[in-house]
Amino acid sequence: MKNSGVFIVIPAYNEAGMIESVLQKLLAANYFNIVVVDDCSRDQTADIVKKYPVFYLRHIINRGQGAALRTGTDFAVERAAEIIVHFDADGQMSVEDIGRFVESLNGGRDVVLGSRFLANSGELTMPWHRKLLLSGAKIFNYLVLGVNYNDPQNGFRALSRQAAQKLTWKNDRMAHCSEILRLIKINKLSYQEIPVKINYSQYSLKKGQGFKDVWKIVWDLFINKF
Amino acid sequence: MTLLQYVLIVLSLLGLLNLFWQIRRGNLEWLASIKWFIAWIALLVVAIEPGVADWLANLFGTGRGADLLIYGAIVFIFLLIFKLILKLNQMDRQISQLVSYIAKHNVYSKDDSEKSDSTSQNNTVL
Repeated sequence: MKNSGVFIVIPAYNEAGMIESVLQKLLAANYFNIVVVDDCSRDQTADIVKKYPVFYLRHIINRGQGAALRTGTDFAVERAAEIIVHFDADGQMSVEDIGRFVESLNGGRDVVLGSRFLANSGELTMPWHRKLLLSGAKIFNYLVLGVNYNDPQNGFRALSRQAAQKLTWKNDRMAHCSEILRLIKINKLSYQEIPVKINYSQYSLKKGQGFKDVWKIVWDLFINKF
Repeated sequence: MTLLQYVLIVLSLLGLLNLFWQIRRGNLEWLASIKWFIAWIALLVVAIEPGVADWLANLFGTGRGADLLIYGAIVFIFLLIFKLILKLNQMDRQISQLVSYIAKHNVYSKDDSEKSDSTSQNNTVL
């Protein structure tokens, strides 16, 4: 049946405000293997998620988005997932884009990465400070990590089963994005970047990365090299 | 010989005794044992013959033996802190692995009948 091998992994930390509509949209689009990894939320996230036919996993201690994604990805692989899609709980990613990710993976790619900077990606809706931050991240990733991707901090990605087994990122928190890109290069995995539409809202901007996170990401990438 | 020299000699000898005791009990790895042995011997040599510190200070260009000791101590403390950070980071990763393991073995999912298309093998509260 449609989408039976596709697992959607959603890390969630205090996402009671948006996660219900995200789950409703995914289920309406016939994605029935949804894995929500609750990263020790203190709000009503657990109660909301448990109302829906999804897999609910809970971190008993907050470990960060990277760790939650790893837990969800490992779980999906254990459940014989063929395709694993990383999706945000804050409602800024479009469910309609998942189909193109799956299509590209079925075409033989190992990894598909979403980009906000390609044509038709809805780049214009991005606030200027976010654009500045992401431009800096792109330069950093190219100069320091040696990876040249269009949108290195985009968390919208899909992995084939084989890729998910090879990409064993160590970074628990926000630095996992850059690390995954480096691992794609190290493991010589084929990839494609496709345009995605990101709907910025006050809610998602509040949850997203800011300038204060930059040094933390750089430090985490450095220290996890050892 | 000054009082400070006597104190340093006693301190280094006690340090060496403790080191041999720790090695005998198998509490130290060989690399750590060698490092500590060199450190205590160096202190003993400097305590007996302070001229060695001045000779080394001239070699490194710091002027005084005491200055060299302070610089050396700062470098040593930096290395120690870095090692501690690495250890903490390693423990942090182990905690994540444990948390992840617990999460994967305590999955909540609504009853199979409510899932119209699921590949789940064990949709129960574990």
